[in-house]
Amino acid sequence: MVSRRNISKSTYILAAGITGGIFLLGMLLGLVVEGKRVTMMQSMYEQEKANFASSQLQFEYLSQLNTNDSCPTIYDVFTKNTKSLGDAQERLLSFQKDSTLNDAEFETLKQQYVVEEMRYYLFAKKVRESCGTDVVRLLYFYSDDKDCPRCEEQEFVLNYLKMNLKDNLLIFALDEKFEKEPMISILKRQYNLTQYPSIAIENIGLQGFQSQDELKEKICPRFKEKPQICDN
Amino acid sequence: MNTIMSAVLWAIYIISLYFVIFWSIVYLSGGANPQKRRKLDDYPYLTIAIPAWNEGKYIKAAMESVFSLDYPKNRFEMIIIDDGSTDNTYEAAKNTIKKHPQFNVTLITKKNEGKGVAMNLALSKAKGDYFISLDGDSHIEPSAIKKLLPYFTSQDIAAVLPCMKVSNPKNLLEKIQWYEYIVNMYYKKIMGHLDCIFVAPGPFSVFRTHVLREVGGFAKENLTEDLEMTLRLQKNHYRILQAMDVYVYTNVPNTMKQLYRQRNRWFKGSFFNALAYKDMMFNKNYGDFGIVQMPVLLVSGLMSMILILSAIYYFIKPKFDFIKNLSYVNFDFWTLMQNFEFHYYIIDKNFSLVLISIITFSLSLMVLYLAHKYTKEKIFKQGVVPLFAFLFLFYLYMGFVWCGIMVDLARGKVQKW
Repeated sequence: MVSRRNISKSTYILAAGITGGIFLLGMLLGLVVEGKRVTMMQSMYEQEKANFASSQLQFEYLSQLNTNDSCPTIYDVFTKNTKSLGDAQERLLSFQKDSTLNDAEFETLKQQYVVEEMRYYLFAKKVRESCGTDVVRLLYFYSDDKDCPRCEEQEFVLNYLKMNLKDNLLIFALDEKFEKEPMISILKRQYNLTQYPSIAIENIGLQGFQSQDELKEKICPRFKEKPQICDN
Repeated sequence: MNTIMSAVLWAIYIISLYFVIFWSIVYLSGGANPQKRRKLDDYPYLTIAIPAWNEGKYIKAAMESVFSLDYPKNRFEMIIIDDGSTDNTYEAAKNTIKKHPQFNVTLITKKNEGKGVAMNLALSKAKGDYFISLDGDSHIEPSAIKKLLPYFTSQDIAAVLPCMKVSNPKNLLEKIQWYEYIVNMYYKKIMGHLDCIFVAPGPFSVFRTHVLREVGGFAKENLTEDLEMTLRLQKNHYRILQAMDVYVYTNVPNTMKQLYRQRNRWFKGSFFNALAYKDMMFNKNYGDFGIVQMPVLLVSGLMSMILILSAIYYFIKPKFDFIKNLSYVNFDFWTLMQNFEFHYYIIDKNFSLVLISIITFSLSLMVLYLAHKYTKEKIFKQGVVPLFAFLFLFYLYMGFVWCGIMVDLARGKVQKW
């Protein structure tokens, strides 16, 4: 029998040191990437702001000319910008979930994006009124999994409707818990929303999960030319 | 809840990375170097015990491999214990003995009481200085004994183990296990360097007979009597060595059900035996075995289970949620397909996790390469598909086995060997 069993202390310490080093390197890398994400989102926000300002400028100029010929082009650019804003916002939320040190920056960015979104929401009404565009605006209020277990399902249904209605339906998603932006509280009070998911279709507020058919019932009558999905 | 789960997963990633690095350092500090061997001046008398239960299909091959040993036939005896087989094991063994009257073979049939009892019966009759256990469905190469005996260079070496390989793997499952056995042999070689071997496998191991008797023989009614014996040897501060130049070939489960049952027994056995020997855990009197191997034996199952449950939660649950969500849109999969957009942004990835995963995976590939190098096998011998299945799916399945074990334990289900 071995009289004394060895303990490979130096191996344990070396392995712990290397593991710790790799872990720290990973964290450092994560922080560097986080910084880059903040910079990237700031840059994207500036681009979205510029896009919006450009859309507004085009709209105002053409309004002065009293012509609707360019409405389709303006609207096309407008909906593309709305989509890219929505996509950027989604990435921002995902970055914010993973953030460690830059939470304050992400919060500020989130507010900026929400404000931009609201500008698009209001602008969409102007474009519709001036150009007679067949479009319905929809505000979607979501919350976290704990307070809104059906939010994921609602988003799936909304995305599906968007796929079918395309530029005829503009969806603006808002985090009902984001108190930093007072506009969200104003809208919640306006539509008297207390449970989530909630949807506001123009001037109508709907609380709780809405099925595809329930949403179509509220959306379809608002179109002058009914899209194919409204016939099903 | 998500924060706790995230913290637990991170702990598992770090622990896994730590152990891959730890054993890599052991390898780099000579862990895989050949063990010292003495010259075999004499031919000690050996007892080769073959406990068999329903091995009618394989027992002849096992016995023939013993008869073919490059060892003086008057210097070993064979004791076959038919442990209450319900097939033709006894007849097959008897017929094989008849064809080799020059060998000293004892064939005993008894009621089924488990492998531990069968082994102890053989041990009680053993006349050899070395006691060799050979499973009825395994076979050894002729030079095995002559190569293994020289490893017994000191009295504290209680057992020497050969390299176990899967015999003639045919289907995908057998080929996957082929890779598993190769990697396990490499790890056992390195573990032997730190006296951390925790199982002398039943299919074939060479023990000093007096040591087995001294520690009380094999455990009866133990799910893994081979592992239990090894823990007992470790507890008595005996050493166990892994040889890399001797091969024994064993049959492995060829269906998922058989594999599940085998691993269910193995893992349960290791868990209960680790609990039984928990006083060795973190006990510096047992050196590296107590500090690192015993805790790993106990918690590895828990870690596997957490990983598989996380894999189900993060990868499989979203698929079920997707199907549920499809029901809300009348299963209009075609519209979803037409509007599918694929976006891949590298900056969106979790870099800490990516880095740890890359390093762990790279070290695992290094282990795979070294395991094949030291067992003198080619990496793609069994094909690319089995290799990938081993790398990415096999251990997930083992996690699933652990989940089954937890369910069994919760239900109070105990099985016999």
